[in-house]
Amino acid sequence: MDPADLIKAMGEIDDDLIEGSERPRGRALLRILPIAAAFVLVFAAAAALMLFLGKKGEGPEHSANAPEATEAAEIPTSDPAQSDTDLYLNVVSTLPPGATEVPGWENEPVPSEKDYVRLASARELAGKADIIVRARIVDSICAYVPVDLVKDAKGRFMPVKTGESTLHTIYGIQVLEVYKGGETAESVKRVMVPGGIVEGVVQSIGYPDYAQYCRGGECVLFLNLPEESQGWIWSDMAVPMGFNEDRCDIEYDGGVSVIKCRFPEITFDWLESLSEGAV
Amino acid sequence: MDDRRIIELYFNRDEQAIKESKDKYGPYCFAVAKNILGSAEDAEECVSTALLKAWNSIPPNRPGSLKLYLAKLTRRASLDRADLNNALKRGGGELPLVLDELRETASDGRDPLSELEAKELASAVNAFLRTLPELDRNLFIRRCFFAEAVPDIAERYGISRGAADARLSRTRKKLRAYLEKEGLIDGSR
Repeated sequence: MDPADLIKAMGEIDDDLIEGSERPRGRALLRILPIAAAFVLVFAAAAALMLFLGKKGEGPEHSANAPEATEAAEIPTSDPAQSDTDLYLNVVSTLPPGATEVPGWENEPVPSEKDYVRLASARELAGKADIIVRARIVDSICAYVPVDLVKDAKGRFMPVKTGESTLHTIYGIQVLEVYKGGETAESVKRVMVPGGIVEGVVQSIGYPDYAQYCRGGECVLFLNLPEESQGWIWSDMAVPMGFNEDRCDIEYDGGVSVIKCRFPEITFDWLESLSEGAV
Repeated sequence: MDDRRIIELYFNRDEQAIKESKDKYGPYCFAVAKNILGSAEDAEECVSTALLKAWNSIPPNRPGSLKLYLAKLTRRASLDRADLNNALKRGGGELPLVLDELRETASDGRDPLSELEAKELASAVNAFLRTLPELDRNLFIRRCFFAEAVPDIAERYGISRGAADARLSRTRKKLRAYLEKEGLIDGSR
């Protein structure tokens, strides 16, 4: 066989497959737009809050760091009264600068430089963030999306909710690096995650074909998709995220499929446990 | 004019069918041919050839989608014109690039396929495409069926060029593995 045979064979593919590829230009952009807008709003809100806090004068060290700190978005919890003790989780990039591969993700696209959100320096983090999680989302459209993780009211680390209109379905989060914050610049510690820890938080946001519920470390994912579509979701999404057959059961029931997986929630304790292996 | 009415014109042997087809899908077919051939002049001729083949094949054929029927005829006419075996040397259009990309996927040093093997291959490619994630499948179809340029494909799906390249590369590798498994490619070469 040679490439010409393959090109000819492509001419015989079914009409529905060709038709499926006829997405009008710009439609993808429209789908992503609400998310982009939500991210902009979140960052703007964070920046405004930081400016506000800076004006209140929280100490000379903080003021001195303010201009640089605005580049590292902080996500406050919903209850300002708890903000002193809550974790502020920072962004988040896709791969460590200079890295080209992450175990298990060798074939994934490597983001360009502009995709990075610079990780805050130790000085910027001092006294502000307790933990920084560098992660990426695996979602239904893109292989990766920069993500902010915040601690929710139950102490779980969850992606920032980007609004009800969001069409993305988040399949999981790959945690690549964890930084532990401290009171001083010197005490900020980089916690290496051996081999690129892969853990999953599966969350569905406003997508009608998907529904997912998590409770007590067990998540149930309902996918309103034909059975034949489940294969790629399993191989391309679930398996790379560390889900495996020991951990998940898949049931098909007519048009609705259920993937039921058990995995640890990303909790503060879990992140803390990662530091045990830190050099 | 509605596709169904155009097809009826073909069935009634009314030559207006060709004009209506050309008015409605001429630019689309032209784009298909132009991607493959690179030359506007050649592309025009291929569209005309495709319309003539449509006239000669409807009836008995009654296409479910006139647009895709014409696209396939145009693609076939364009590939015939491109002379696949020499396309790499001749250059022009995206076809040489697509062929080059597929070299590692398809080459196994064996003789060209028989008609029966070609049918098996087409069937295997169809089945393979159905196993792919939607985005990967669409990217591959835009590249290997329509011979669209990668930046255009990336723009269509709102992803970066690098992401499109990486996904296409991964799909080609998957296809190679699939064809080896199906015994259509000699994996030992």
